[in-house]
Amino acid sequence: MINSRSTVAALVFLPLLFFTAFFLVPLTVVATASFTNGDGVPTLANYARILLDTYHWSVIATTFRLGIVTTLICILIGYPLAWYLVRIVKFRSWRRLCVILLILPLFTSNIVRSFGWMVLLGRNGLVNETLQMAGLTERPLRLLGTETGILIGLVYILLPFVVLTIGNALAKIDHSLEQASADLGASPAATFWRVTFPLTAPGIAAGAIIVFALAVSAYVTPALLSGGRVTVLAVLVFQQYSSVFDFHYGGALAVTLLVFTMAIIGISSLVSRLGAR
Amino acid sequence: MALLSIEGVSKSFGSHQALKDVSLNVEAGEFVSLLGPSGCGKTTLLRLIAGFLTADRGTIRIDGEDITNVPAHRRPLNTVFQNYALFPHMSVQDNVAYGPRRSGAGRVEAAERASEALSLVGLGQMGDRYPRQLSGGQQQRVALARAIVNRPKLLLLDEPLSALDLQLRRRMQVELKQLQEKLGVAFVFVTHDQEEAMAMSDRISVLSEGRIQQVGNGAEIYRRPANRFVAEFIGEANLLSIDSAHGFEIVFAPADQSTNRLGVVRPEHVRILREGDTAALSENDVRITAEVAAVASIGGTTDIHCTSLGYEIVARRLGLSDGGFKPGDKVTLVIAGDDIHIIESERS
Amino acid sequence: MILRNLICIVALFGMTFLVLPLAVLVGASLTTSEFLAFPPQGLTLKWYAVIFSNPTYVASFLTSTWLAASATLIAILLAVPAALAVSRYDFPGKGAFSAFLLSPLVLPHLVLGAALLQFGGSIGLTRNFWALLVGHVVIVTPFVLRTVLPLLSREQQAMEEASRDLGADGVTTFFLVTLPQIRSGLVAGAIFAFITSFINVELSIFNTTAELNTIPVQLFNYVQYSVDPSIAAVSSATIVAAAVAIILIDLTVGLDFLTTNDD
Repeated sequence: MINSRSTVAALVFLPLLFFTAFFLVPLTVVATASFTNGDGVPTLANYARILLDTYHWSVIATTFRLGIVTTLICILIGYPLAWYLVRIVKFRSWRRLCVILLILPLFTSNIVRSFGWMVLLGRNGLVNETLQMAGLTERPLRLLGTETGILIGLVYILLPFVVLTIGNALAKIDHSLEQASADLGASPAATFWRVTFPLTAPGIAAGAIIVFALAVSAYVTPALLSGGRVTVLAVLVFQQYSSVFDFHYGGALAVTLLVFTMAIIGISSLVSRLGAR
Repeated sequence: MALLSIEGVSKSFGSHQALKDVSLNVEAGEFVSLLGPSGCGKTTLLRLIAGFLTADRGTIRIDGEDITNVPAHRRPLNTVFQNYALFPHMSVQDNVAYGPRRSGAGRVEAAERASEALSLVGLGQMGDRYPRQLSGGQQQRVALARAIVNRPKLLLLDEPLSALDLQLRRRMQVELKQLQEKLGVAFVFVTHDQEEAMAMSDRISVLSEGRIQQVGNGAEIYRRPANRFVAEFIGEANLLSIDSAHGFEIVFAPADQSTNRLGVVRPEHVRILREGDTAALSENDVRITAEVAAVASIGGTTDIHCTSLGYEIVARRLGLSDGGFKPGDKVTLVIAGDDIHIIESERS
Repeated sequence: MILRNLICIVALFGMTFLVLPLAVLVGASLTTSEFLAFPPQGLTLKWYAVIFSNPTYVASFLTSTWLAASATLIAILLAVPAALAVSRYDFPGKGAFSAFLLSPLVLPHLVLGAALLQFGGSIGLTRNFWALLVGHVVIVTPFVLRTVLPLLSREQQAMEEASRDLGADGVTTFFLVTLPQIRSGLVAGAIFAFITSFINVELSIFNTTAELNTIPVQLFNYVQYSVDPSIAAVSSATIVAAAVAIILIDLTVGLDFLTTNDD
């Protein structure tokens, strides 16, 4: 390639400059602040304040419990839904409509989507009315302001990601593999567990990682559906940056959120890679 | 002066040396094939000539002018790409007119020249279509028209027929050769198909492991391969180590004793006689006693595989008759002395 | 067969679950009552008239549109050269470079917003349009990069070589051959980028003010204190806009990634 070095430099220069200035440097500033006190003296006090305190640990536990349960529920509903769309639906136009309805939530703001659930989950909302009419409960359930409410909101917001990644993996499977399995005498169940499921496992893993990362860092949904009664890490981070203005403690909270998220994603992808061997 | 002159060109990709000190001349109007197995460096050499890669060492000249560091778009040659690389968003006409437009022709003139090139390849009526609406053979012709429209003196072709089925391929070989002669343009033609190279080329350059092994016309390369690689790659060959040779008195060494001389014998030059049948022998013939191992008829020929001295020697008979030879038969193999091509200092 | 029916039930439950909240908002926006009601009491479009005559909403809507459009444009100008460099050239740190530009996809936007607020404070880049813009460019650039990269394939590279072989220089080749080939990916990436910017809260919330606000942040602030049918109308307007965008994508690039090859 002629003059490839200067061409690469010309192509890469602006993106690299922009991302360094407005992405790398700001994050470095946060990380630096988290390791210093108000006078700029290096300290671990901000982290000690978080990690040596039971309240913070309970917030971390709530955050990650919500993340893990959301991920599991998304897979449990998402896999059958993806299977339905890829393997069962016969009419192209119905599948097309379903795909549009699946993506529509992704194109609307978290606010709008959470607001919809605020309306539905209220004391006199549709969910409580239905439950009461069906005789499943005597008095209206308190759903808003509980972890269950947040969970419903998070599953709702993140379900499309799982359906799309699993559905994509399912659609790519060569049917002759399953036919070969049946031809070799495997029952439909054996074919599913030994052929189909392993081939969709990367899709499940990819979807799970996206869902988990977005669930533990979600701010809007917990803020709206908790009604201030349930606290997650992202809410603590926001408070420090928007009203308390303690960038050192806030930075430490942000870094904690990042590190815990990356650690869990790293462990789970390591486990799935070992499992694939 | 040669039209294209390549001198001492080397090219590495990381630690892999793709071309090692390659030199080659192509005369005006000549058809030269670069023949070799995949990974031999033939495509790298073509891309160096086209200007998509830059040589680490050596020079490339066209008409005596050094173009080693001239960018691709300023080189006076054109290329037919392996999968044609037609622009899918342009009509056939616009694809072919692309070259003239870039070299400064006006819209009308470019269109005229494109139509002319298209009728030259027999696609005069297809100008309004888009590449995806054409068959593989038609796309191939469009790629050809696009490459010749600027009337280059040198055309590079990167396995242009490899995507076509066998019948179409045979027909395109003939058409391509006719077109080349009609236009008087020099072709550098990359292929891994020896029959294609043999059928079309004035000269063949056999490449292996980044080096040119031999350059010559088809008959030369077939009859007098320069080394073991060429002997085995071009056609089929029985390779036998030679113990001693005085004139036509040639004695072969057993397979487990390698010597520094190798005899190359084509299967069709091996005659097969029943043991004791000495009727048709002449002075210059070399005789080997052998045993038939297997008999195989393929189309118009019959191969009789024999074992002797630890070699498997193939004798080829024209026609479907196996001459009554059966596995286990004791036979005498007869090879005329001047049908044995000797390669010196090649360990077998 | 039982299993198949079970799958169908779960799937239909899932689809209902996905549609319900959005349907509820669209329905509630049509109510004639002064409070949020679903099913709506009567049908009226008066709440849409209310929001479209409210200057605060209109201003936020314009800010969001302008912000998303600018961020998308800049993202294209950054992502296309980056994609060309990554797909066409070998250079040291190539893997790290593309990972760096793609990483905002997995990084919590809230953390980035906080970081930009703190960093922006030190250079005077806070609570104005430019402060919002740089953050949005960072989060939407990966979307363009991700849709353009796969289109710069080997076949595409062969076409660029063919163009240069026929005498076109690099710039001519880019505009006549490369750009028309990546246009579909560029359109899809640009739509994703625009939407992502348009619906963002976590990043914008740090740098918005009463005078300079985006639609989602405006809604967020509003929803936390009071709810009335006008908010449902704003929400439902964004839902309709999203539906239009999706149908546009379906018509231009197709959303058939759940279709198997053999039917």
